[in-house]
Amino acid sequence: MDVGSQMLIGGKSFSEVDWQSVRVSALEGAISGAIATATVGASLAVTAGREGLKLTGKQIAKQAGKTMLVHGTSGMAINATSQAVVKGEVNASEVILSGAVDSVTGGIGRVLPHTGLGKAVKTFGDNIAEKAKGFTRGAFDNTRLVLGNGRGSVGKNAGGGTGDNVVYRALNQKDADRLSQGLGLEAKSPDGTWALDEHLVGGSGQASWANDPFISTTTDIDVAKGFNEAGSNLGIVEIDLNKVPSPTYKGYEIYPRVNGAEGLPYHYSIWQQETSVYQYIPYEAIKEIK
Amino acid sequence: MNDRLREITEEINLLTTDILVPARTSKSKNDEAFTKLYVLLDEVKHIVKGTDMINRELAGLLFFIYTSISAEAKHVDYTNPLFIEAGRLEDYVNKILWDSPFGR
Repeated sequence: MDVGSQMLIGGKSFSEVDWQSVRVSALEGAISGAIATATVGASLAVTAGREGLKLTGKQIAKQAGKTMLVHGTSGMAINATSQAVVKGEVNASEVILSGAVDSVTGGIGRVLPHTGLGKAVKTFGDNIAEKAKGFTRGAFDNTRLVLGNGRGSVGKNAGGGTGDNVVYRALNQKDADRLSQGLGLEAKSPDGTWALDEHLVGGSGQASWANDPFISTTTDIDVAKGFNEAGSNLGIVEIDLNKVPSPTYKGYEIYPRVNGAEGLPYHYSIWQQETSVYQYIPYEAIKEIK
Repeated sequence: MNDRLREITEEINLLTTDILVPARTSKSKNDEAFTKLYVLLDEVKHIVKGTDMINRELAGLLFFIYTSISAEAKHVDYTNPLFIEAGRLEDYVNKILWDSPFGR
């Protein structure tokens, strides 16, 4: 995990964040986008987008524009203060959007409603709307806390923490059938020949049943809940990775953060906070079924 | 079009009856026809790799077969062989229509 991310999730003060580092590496892409949105709204969200989350940034802006969730007048004050703290990260020409900070923070919540990140950012946006006039540096601490709480187990498993090595998975029909027989989870095609990036991009498609040897899990239970509700609604399992002998991978630590189709393995995996497990998950590793 | 691709296109066209009629009418898989199809598709993959263009007749035929099987696969359990073949066909079509950046 990047230094900046560790500082944020680890609870260090905002001024200690290494923003250069935040700009650079994998997980930081999402976090910097979230921080940007939570602190300076559209301005840094756009910056984060240009750094590698362009499509998401556009989608967020578009969604925010549609929903028009403008709660208050915090934009400019926050933006100015944030520029002082996050010096060098904010392009003055982008401040034009800062008045819509709550629109965008609301937009994040709308675009990613099922993720802890989306909820955390939206919550922060709501808080800011109420505290706009009295905005101080304390708000940045609030940001840190909200992000830390919102990401919860994500931080523990994203490479920088020491917590439980737990991931979650929304069950598909095959999973449910196997569990009912007392069997562990098996990839759709355990002997399939797909590489990890093919799994990350095509794991939801029909082709995965003939080719995909990976099992998708996520460190963010809200992602699992979202997939469960949108899919088969067969429930969620909690998996103790300490009891999984198979290799596991985090695509966002492997594939490049670039735009276009080639960047999809990174973008999909980081937004889903995916840990991909190769072939099998033993029954004993499944801690509980929710 | 490459002469061999023209021949393959016609051979695939002739296989469509053997593949699609059982799939539509009994949701079953004609093993022999699918095996022949995959041999041809492997050859197509090899021929078109790195090329800029693919013939519309071939592209359309592959799309038609894939969507037809995929539609039937929606009516069967994931353990049905037809379900798996739909996935296999999807992967073939994907790899024939472009040189995907994934899985290299």
